[in-house]
Amino acid sequence: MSSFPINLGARDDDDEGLFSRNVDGQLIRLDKPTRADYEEIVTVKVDGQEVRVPKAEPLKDAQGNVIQDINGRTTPRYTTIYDAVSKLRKQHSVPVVCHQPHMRPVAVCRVCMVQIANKGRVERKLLPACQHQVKDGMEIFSMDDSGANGQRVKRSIKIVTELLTADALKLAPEPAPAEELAPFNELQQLKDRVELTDSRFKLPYFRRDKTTRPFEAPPRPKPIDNSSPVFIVDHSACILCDRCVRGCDEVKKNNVIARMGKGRNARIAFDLDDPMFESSCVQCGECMVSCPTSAITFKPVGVVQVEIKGDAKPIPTEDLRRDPDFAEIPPKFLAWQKGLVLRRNVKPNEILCEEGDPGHSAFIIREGTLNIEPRGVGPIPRTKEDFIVGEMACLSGAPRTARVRAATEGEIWEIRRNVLDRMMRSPNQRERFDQLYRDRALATAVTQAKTELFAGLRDQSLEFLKSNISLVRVNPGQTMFRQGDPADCMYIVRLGNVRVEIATAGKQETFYYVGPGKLIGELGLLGLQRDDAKNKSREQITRELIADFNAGVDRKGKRTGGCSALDHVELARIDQATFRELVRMEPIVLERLVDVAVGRLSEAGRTGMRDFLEQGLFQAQSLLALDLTRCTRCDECTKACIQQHGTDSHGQHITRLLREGLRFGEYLVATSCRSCRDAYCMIGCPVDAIHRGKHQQIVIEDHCIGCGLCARNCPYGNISMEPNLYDMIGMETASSGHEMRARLKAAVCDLCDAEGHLDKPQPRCVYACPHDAAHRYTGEQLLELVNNS
Amino acid sequence: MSIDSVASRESPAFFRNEIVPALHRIQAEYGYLNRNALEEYSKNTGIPLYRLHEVASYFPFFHFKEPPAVTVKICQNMACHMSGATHILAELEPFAKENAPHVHIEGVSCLGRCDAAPIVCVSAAHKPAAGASTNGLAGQVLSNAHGDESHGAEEEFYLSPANTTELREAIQACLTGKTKHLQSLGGRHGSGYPSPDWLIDPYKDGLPKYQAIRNLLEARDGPIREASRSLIEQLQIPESDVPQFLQTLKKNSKAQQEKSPKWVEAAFKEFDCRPANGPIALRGLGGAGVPASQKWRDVREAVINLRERDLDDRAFILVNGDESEPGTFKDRELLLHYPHLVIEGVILAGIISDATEGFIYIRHEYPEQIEACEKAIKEAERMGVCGMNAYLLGKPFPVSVFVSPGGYICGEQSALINALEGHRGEPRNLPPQPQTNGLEQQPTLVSNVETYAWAPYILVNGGAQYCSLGNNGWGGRRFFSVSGDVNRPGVYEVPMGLTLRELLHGDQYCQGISGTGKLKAFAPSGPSGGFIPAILPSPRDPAKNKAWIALAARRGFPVDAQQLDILDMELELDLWRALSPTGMLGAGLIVYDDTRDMAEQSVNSLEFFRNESCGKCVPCRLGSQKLTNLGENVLDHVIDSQSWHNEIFPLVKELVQVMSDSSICGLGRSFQSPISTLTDYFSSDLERHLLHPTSTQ
Repeated sequence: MSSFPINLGARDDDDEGLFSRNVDGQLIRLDKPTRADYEEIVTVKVDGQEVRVPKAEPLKDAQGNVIQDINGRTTPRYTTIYDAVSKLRKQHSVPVVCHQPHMRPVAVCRVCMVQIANKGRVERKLLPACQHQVKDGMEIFSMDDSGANGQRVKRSIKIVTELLTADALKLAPEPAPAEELAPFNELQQLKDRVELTDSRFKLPYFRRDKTTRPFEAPPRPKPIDNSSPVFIVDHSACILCDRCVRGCDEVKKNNVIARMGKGRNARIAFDLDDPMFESSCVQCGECMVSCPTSAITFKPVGVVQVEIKGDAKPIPTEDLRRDPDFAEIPPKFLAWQKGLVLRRNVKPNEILCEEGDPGHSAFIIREGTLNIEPRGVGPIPRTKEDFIVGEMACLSGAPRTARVRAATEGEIWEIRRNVLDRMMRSPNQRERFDQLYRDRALATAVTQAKTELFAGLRDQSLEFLKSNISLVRVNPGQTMFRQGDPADCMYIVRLGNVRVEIATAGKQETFYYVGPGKLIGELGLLGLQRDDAKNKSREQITRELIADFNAGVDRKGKRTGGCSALDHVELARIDQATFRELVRMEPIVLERLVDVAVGRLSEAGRTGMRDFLEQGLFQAQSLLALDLTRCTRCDECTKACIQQHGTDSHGQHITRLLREGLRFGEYLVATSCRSCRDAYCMIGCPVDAIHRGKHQQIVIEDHCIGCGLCARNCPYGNISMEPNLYDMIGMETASSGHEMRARLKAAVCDLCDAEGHLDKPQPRCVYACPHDAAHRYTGEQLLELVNNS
Repeated sequence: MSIDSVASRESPAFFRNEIVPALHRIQAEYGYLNRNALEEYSKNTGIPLYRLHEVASYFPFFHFKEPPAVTVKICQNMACHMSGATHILAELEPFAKENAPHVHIEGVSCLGRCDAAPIVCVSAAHKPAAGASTNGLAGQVLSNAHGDESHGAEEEFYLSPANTTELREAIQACLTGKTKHLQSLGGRHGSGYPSPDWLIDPYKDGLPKYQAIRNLLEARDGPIREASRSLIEQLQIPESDVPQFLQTLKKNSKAQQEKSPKWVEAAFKEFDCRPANGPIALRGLGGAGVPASQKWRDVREAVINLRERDLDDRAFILVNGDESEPGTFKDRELLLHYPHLVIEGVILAGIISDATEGFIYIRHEYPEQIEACEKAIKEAERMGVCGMNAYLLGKPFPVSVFVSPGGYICGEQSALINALEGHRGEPRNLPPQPQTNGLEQQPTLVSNVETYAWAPYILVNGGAQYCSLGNNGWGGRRFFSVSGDVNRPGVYEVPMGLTLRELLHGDQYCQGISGTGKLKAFAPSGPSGGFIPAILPSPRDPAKNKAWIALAARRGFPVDAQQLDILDMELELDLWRALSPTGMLGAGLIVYDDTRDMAEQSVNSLEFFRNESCGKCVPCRLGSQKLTNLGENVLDHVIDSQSWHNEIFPLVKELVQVMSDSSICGLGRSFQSPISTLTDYFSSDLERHLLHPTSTQ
C-alpha cells in the first residue's frame, strides 16, 4: 500500500515495552532498587551470547567512589543493557556519546540504541542501552549482531552518526589547538567505528542557504563564545549531549550550565545565557573535559604548565593516550595541562619520598623494583605487577607513611593527584584501585593500631584479621551510631576524626574526639557500661569478661555514646564474630582491649571541647593563636605578613592573615591557614595547583586558574581569591588582542616557607609580634594550654 | 481568572510546582522576565539561575526582553496557512517596518482557532487608557490584579481579520490604547456552540450535576454504610460526615484493599461495553485509543501496590488540555461549555483509582476556557465533590487548573508531566509508564479532555446506551474539529461511524467543500496523519482484509473494487487503522480542495514539526531540520528529479525510519506521514517542483 517500510497502522502513542507488564498483566512500577537486587541474577542474551549480571549495581559518585553509609551499605542502581554488554565485551561495548559511566544516563544522543526481544517477539522501537534496565530473559541485539536485528540497529546508529557529524564535526575554532585536539573528537571516533566515510546530510539539498518561505525564520545563529581567557565555546559544534551540563551541575555542583531554548534553537547556556566569563562560571574546566566534540575547547594561552622539579620528563599527551592505563582519561584533560605525568628513570637506592613527606603524587612502576620501607618493618618490594605505590597519601592527602626507595634501576611514571582522580573515574581502573586501596588501607589500619592492641601477634593472626575486617568511609557530619544502639562491632579509625558524644541526664555533652589509629565502639562490643569503672576494679571487669567470653554469653552490648564523623573518616570495621575468633587465637587481645576500655572510662572530660570541635581546631597542625592577655592589636603581625610575601605571587601586596576570628579560651584564633590534617581545600582542584609543603602547610602553585574551589571548600575562610595582577597564564595574543590571565588567584598562608628551604618554619607573624602574643600551635597544644591555664 | 491568580494561588498540599508560577509572577509584574527579579528570586529560594533559565527559555510564553508595544503573532499552520496567513504577513511587513521597533510580527504555531482562520494574536504591552475593555487573559490581569498602576501588563486579542486593513487598524488601536472595540475570539465568533444536538452533557435536561459521582459513591459506600448503620446512629454522625467516617473505618480495618471490588468492575463494565461490531465504548480520544478502563485500572493497581508496601501512595489525575495540534480545537469547546463534565471525569477517575489530586492542564492561549474551568471547580468545591473539603468523597481531592506556558510537545504525556513539575517540557524515556511512575514518580493518569468528559454520560446513562448512539454498527459519539476548505468549519459531535461524506456534505455539519467544491485530499489527524487522497487505492489483499470486506458490504461496493472513495469511509479509529495508509484518525480534520498543492502543504507540516520538536534527542532535532530544509529546497525548484529519485528519496526513507525507531517520543514518528502520503498519492504535485532535464527541442 505504501512505499514506506513501516506500517503506521499499528501505531499506538502509548507504547508499552515488551517487559512493561508482569504475568498478571499488571503494569510494573519502577521502584527504587534495593540491596537485595545485588543478589538477584538476571540472565540476558547479547547477540546470542548469554550474560549473567546482578539486577542492580552499587551507585557510585562522580569520582567513581561507591557510595556507602557507615555500615558499609551501598545504594543500588539498576543494571543497564550497557552494563551487561560492557561486561561481556570490555573493549567493544555498545558505542556511546552522551553516556559516561560516572554520569546519570540521559539517553539523548540515541547512539547506543539496541534492539530487544522477548521470547522471539521483537520490540517495535529501538531502546537506549545506557538507560534501559536489564530484565530476565531479555534478548539484546547490538550493531554487532549479524542478523536482521543487528542490521536495523546498525542502520539506525549510522544515520544518527551521519546527522551528528554533518554539521557538528569540525575543527575547534581559533585559537584552540585544533590539530592537536582533532583526533580526540568523539564524533570522529564514532564515524570510524561505524565505518562511515562521509555524512550524506552534508549534501547541499539538506542545507538552507537563503530563506524564501513566507514565515521561514532561519535558526538563531550559534555564535562562538570567546569571553573566557581559558576556554572557547563553539555552539555550532555542540550536539547537546548534556555532558557539560551534568559535569557542571552534578559532578562539580557548580550549577551554571543548562540547555536553553527549544528544538533547533536549543543550545547550552551559562546562567541566563550570559557569556561564559561574565556568568557565575568558575572556569574549573569540567565542561571542557566532558565535551566530546570541539564545542568546548581551550586556548593555547590557557594551557596549564605545571612546574617540573628535578630531571623528570613530561610524557606527551599522544603517548599517554595510547597507554591502556591512561586511555580512559579524557585526552582534552591531558592536553590542557602539561606535565601532569612525569617519567623518572631511577637508580638503585634513589629515594622517591620520605616518611612524613606531603604526598601529592603517586608512582606507577613501569620497570624495576621499588622498596617501601615503613619504620621498624623490613622493606616491602613492589614491582610492575603491583602497578602503583604512594597512591594512599596522594588520595587521602595525609603524609607519606613510609619511605620509598628504588631497589633496582627502573622507570617510574609519577602522576599528580588530579590525574589519579581522573583515572579512578574509569570503572575498570576503579576496580583495580579499590582492591589495592582496600588491602593497603586495612593493612595500615592494623599497623596503626598495632602498638595498642595487636603488638606481638603471630603473622597468622594478623593475616586473619586483615582478611576479615572491612573498610568503611563516612562523610563529614554523618552519624555513625547513636547512644543506646545495639553494638555488634568496633572500629579502628584509619583516617579522620570521630566525635563522641555522651548524654548524661538527658543533656548532650561532647565528651571527646578520636583520631587515626584509635579505637571506637570497643565499650559496646565488650558490653561494658559507662559507670562500670566506678563500681568495679579493672581486674574484676577483666575476670567477668573472660568468664562470659568462655561461657559464650552474649553481653548484648549497647553503644555508650553517639559517634559522628568530624571530617572524612575511614574506618576498619571489626565485627563480633571476627573479634571472638581473634581472641580465641590470641587471648592477650581481650586483656589489652579491656585496658583501652577502662582507660577510656576513666578519661576526664576537658573544658572547651565543644568549641574545640565546632571551630574545627582539632584539625589544626599550625594555627595562629593570639594571646589576648598580651595582644595590643598593634597589627604588626599583619604588616609583617604583607611585607614578607611582597608582590611575588599576585603582583600586589596581599595579606595571608586577618587579625580576626573566634575566641578559644583567652586566645583569638586568627583567620589564617591552620594546615588542617584533613585539608578540604585540596579536594578536587581541577589543575592540581594546591599542595602541602614540607611542613604540611598549604601551598598554592603558580598555575592556579582562579576557580575558587579551594576557597569555597575551606570551612574557615582562610583562603582568599585575590586579583592576579601578573600575567600568569599567558601573554598578549594577536588574534584576541587582549591580555589573557587568570582573573583571580588563591592566596593562603604558607608558613613563610613555600619552597621548603627551612628545616623548621619561621612564620613572620610570630616573630614580628613585639608582645610575644602570637604563636603557632597545633590544635591539641592550644587545648592543653586552655585547660591548664 | 488572571495570570496573577494562577501565579499566586496556593495550590493544595499534595503537589506544588515552584518555578513556573514564579516565572508567571515575574512576567506579570514586569511584562517580561526581568534579570534582577530572576536573580533575587534565585537568591531567596536557592534555586540556581540555570534552572530558571532552562525552563523559561523553553516555553514561547516567557520572554527575557521588554516586549515591543505591539506583538503580532500570525498562525502559520494548516487552515491558517491555507486561508492566506502568508498574504497577511507579506502585506503587513511594510507597515511593521514603518512602525519598528514598536510593532513586531512573527509567525507562530497553531493558536487553536482554525475554524476562524486566518488567526492573528495581537498583544499590546503598553498601559491602556483607564477603563479600557479588558478582553483576554492579560487584559484581566490588568483589571483584576494591578489596576491602572501596572507597568508591565499585556492585552491580548485573538482576531480573524477579513483583510490586512482590518488588522492594521487593530494594531493601531493597540498602539494608541483604544482597544475598546476589539473583540477577542473565543469560539467561532462566539456563536454556534454548544450545538443543541450535542448529547455529551447528561445534565442538560435538568438532572443535577455530578450525579455520576453520587452514583459511584453510593455503589462504593452503600454496602459499608448499611453494615455500619447502627454504629453511625449510635455515634450520631451527621449525614455530611458519613462518607469520611466510612473512609476512616475502611482505612482502619486491616483488611487488604480489594484489587477489583464490585463497584469498580461495574464502572469498568460500562466503559468496556461493546456495540454490535465495534470496539469498546470509552477509549482514549487524544488519538491513541487506549481503553480508558485499562489506564484507570493500571493507576488503581499501582496505588494499591504502593499502599500494600506502606510507601508514598499519592496519585494524580491529569487532563491533557494542551491541544496544540493544528486543526484540532474540539477540546476548546468542551472546556468552555462543559468544564463540569471534565471535572467530573477527573473526580470519577480519582475515586476509582483512589488518587489524591487532579490537574487540568490547559494551554495559555485558551483564557476563556481557563476561566470557565476555574469557575466550575469553585462550584464543584461548593458541592463537596472536590477540593480540600470534598465531603461527599470523604477525603480531600483538590482539582486545579495548570496554565501551560505552551508548546505542542507538552501534549505528549510525559512532557506534560515534566512541564507540570517545573522542568523543560521534554518527553521522558519510557518505560516506566506514567500510570506507575508519573508526576513525582507517583502513579499518574494522563488522558485527553474528551475522554474524561464522556465518562459522566456513560456512567449516568450506561455503556449500552452510549454504544447505541453510533452509526453503521459502530458505537458512541465523539467530537471532531473540521477546518480548511469546507463551507462550515467548526466543532461537531458526531455518531461514531458517520461517513466522511455525511460530515463534509451534511447540512447539520460542514455543508460541502468550499473553493472549487472538489475534494483533493483529507488530513485525518492534523499534520500527523498525512494527506489521504479523495480516491484511495484498495488494500493489498482485499479478500483477506476483514475491515475492507465489512465496509464493502455496508457501503455496497464489490470486495474486488480497485479503489475506495474516501467519502465512503466511516469515521471510526479501528477502521482507519485497518484501511488508511497512515492508520490514524485524530480529532483535527482538514479538507483540501483540488487547487491545493500538496507538496506545499506537506512542507508546511514538516515546518510545524520541526518548530515544535523539543530538541532533546538527536534523530528528531537534527532529522527534522534536514527534512524541512530539503522540503523547502524542493519548493524552491532547486532539486533535480534524477537526484531526488536516485539519491535523496532513498535516504529520506531511511531517515524517517530511523527517526521512528530511535526518537524518544512519537514526534519523531510524525515526520513520515506528510512525506509518505505526498510521494505515494500526490507525486505529480511533487514532480512539479523538481527540475526535469529539458527535452531536446
